[in-house]
Amino acid sequence: MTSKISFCRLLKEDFKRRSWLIALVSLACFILLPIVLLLSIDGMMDSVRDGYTEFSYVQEYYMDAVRMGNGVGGVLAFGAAVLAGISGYSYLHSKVKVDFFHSLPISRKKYFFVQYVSGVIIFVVPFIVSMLLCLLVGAVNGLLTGGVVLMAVRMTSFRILEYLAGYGTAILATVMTGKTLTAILGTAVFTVYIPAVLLVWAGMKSVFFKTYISNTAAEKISMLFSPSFSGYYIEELMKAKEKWLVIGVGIQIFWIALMTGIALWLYCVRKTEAADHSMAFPKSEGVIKVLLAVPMSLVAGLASRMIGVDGGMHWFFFGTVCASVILSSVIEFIYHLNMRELFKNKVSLMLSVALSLGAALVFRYDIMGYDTYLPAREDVAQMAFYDERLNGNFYYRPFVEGYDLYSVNAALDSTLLDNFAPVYELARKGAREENTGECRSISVEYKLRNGKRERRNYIVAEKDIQETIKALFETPEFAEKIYPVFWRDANLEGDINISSLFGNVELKLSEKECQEFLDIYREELRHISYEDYQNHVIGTIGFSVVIEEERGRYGFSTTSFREEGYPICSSFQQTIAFLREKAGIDLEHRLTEKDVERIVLTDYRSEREGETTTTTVNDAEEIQNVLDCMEYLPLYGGWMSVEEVNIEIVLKSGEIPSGNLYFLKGKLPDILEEQ
Amino acid sequence: MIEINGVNKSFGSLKALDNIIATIQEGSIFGLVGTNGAGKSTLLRILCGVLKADTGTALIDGEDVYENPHAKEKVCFLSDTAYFFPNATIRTMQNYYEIVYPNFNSERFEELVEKFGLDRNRKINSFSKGMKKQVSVLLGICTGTKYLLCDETFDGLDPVMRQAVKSIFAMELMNRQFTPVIASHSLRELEDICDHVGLLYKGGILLSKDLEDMKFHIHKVQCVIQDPVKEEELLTELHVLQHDKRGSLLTVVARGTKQEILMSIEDKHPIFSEVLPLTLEEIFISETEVAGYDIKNLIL
Repeated sequence: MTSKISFCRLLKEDFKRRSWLIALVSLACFILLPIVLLLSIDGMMDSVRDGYTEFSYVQEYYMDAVRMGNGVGGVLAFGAAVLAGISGYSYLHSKVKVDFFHSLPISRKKYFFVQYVSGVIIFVVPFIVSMLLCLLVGAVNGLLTGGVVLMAVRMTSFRILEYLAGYGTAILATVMTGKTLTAILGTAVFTVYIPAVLLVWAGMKSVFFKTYISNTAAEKISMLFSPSFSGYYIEELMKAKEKWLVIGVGIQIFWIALMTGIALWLYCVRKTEAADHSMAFPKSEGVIKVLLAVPMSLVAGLASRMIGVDGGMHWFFFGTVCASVILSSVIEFIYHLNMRELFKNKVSLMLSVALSLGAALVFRYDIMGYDTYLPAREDVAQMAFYDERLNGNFYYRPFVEGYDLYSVNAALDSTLLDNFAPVYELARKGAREENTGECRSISVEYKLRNGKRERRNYIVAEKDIQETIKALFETPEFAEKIYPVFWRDANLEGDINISSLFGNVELKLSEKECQEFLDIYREELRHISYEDYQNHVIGTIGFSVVIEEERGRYGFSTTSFREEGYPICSSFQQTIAFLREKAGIDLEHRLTEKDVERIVLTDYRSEREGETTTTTVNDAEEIQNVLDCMEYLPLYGGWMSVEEVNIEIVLKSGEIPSGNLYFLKGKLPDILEEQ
Repeated sequence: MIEINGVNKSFGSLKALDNIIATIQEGSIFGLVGTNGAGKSTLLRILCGVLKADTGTALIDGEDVYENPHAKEKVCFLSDTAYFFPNATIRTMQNYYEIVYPNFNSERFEELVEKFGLDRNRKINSFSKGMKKQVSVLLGICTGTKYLLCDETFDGLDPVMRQAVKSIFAMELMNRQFTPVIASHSLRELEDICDHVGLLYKGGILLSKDLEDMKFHIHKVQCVIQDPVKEEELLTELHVLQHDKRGSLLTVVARGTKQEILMSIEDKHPIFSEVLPLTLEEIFISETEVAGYDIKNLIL
């Protein structure tokens, strides 16, 4: 049946009724966007005229204001979405209003869309106008370029998508509930539920599973499961990589379609008599109660354990069970607002308690066998090995998220090996806890043939780690994987830093020379042996790594980091020759007493805590003896036994060469032996 | 015509309407009577398409009314608590009704507002309860819909206003196709306005009859018959619904035309006899007592 009633006139009437919201959103947009920008830019321009501020700084500030990542716009969009969504459909919560609106000769679908479109216009128009005014502010101050306009258009479009996703969420919460208070709570639940559950899941694993590797990137990605906040997280990702724009738009459209689609369907099937009841769909009450109570009870259990006097596990179980009962009754109270109905739905109450307790037991006693997990050898396609002492210097994912440089997970993902037999054996020992003697933690990743990935931390014996690394170094694949220099051409800047016993030298090479150096170095590094790595490193290389791959294209600032720790072994003859020839660096030069003014030895070996002995060696013979005994270990990773003596050399030139000088256990100079 | 075919409606475990079967003919004023909770509002809300019947159908001129704008265009529902937009004036509401009811008669509305002495530009939330009712009724009447469903609308109107509204209803009935359905918990509210009355009790229709028809076939007489044998014969002859004797004065409520009943009495040579007017309430008491219900507990 089609209705003759004009959609536009109904829209106009809704604007009249929600004029307060139009005024509020318009005012907020106007003040928070162009006015604040105008005041800031105006102050900065004065400062530029006075010569205190660079114009480029103002440009950067202006771009920050009109491009993605501007938090003010995000808060504005989310706030407006919640207000518009709830105010547009809150009439469903009043019997009198429902009687009025639903008795009118308008189909529910049509009325839904009237309210929907009205809510969209209420935000979109003031927002676009405010953005245009922002551009006008830029134009007046000479800050407007085609690129800035493009950024602003892109941001405005994406912000509208974010608004629609939040708007759909608020509508869904309003339609599912029968009271405005529960609609607000519902919006909050829809917004944070999945990310919160994933965080609880990760938190429980980190507390109870000793082999668990926390994954901050995954925890952040969990924000994608928030219909309202996914957009803001995507904006962060887009700073790093353009591909996220397409993915981000896709995710936003998915959330908009899902939340709005469900809201429309529920709106059409919603019973009118649901008004004034907390929940519009009574059958959902129990399900929602259980879904909320279980994760919240586990969090409460963890909190109880922390608060508990002895931190014992009984506090965890006590807290979990008590919280599940209390939370279930609180939720029931929200449903019925009647103290006598706190325990009304006993089935869902029992289910909440049982599931909370069940989950607590599953984690506490590792019923899933998380810590003992070891896939069958034949099911594993690849494995990665991460040792902080070996891989810790490198940035395995520098251009996905600027703040995720040191991620173990990124390192594992980047270093998957086809020849993983030694790693599997080490992992087996870790999973079976076959670890004796000195032990420490390493990480591994299993990539199964079915594509699944599992990562674990294992405590394993130091000798087993050494054997594994030794075995891994026997194939070039390992070096090619653990050293990002093999696969990161585009992000290496020209400046290369060489560290040796004699200090740091910046190489100034042409692009061609740089490429030539890289080719030589890679070829020799590919065949590095563990023996070389451990005992014959005479210098290291540091490369500058550009974080932003597509720098400047979308106005994101470019950052670079230096990763140190690429070894130069004494066997890297071509590399050594190149450095000698092109930069005058002689890595093979050995220090002699003729170079040294004095050596200061600080001895920490005393049994008394804090007691040290400092010895200054001035005699040439003794200096030579010290030099003969000491080792230059630039990549010392703690796997060798060394004496607790600090060595400081002062050259005759007055310079103090590199640190990383050690005496191996039992190889002390005479002057210390005498003491 | 409104047809209600086996309509059932429950709210959770509460059965609000139980297999309602009724027909509301066009051109009459239908009174829907019942105690609080009898299901009057529920039935009206189903008839205007606000609620969906669990089973059964509510048809407006042969069309199911739920989610059917075409059928709903013929119905206007005045809820027991009239809803007006926040800060709305009569003019604001008039504008909205003009949009949603294509046949809204603005001239008539303005004329009636004038007659009732209501200020069109004053905010409705500053009106008294009765004035709000007046606005609601006037808006409803002027929608031009064929059916006007009034839920407890007359409660709160003073007698003068009731009379005024009654006369407007009468005029509407004369001038156009108009069928008001008025729900009330009080028979007295409906007595002087309805042509047809349906009695709802515990979600079911106890009876639905034409008022004139009922009045024509039920009469109350008072008489004094000296001969107790003849008095006994009279009670046997008549279809007595109720009788009461105080001293020598016999009061009888009997089914039958006035003429039939008086003829029977005359045959018994009464010293005195007269026909008394029956209130709607008394008719209902008589009818329902016969059906085995105590209407005093049902209605008043």
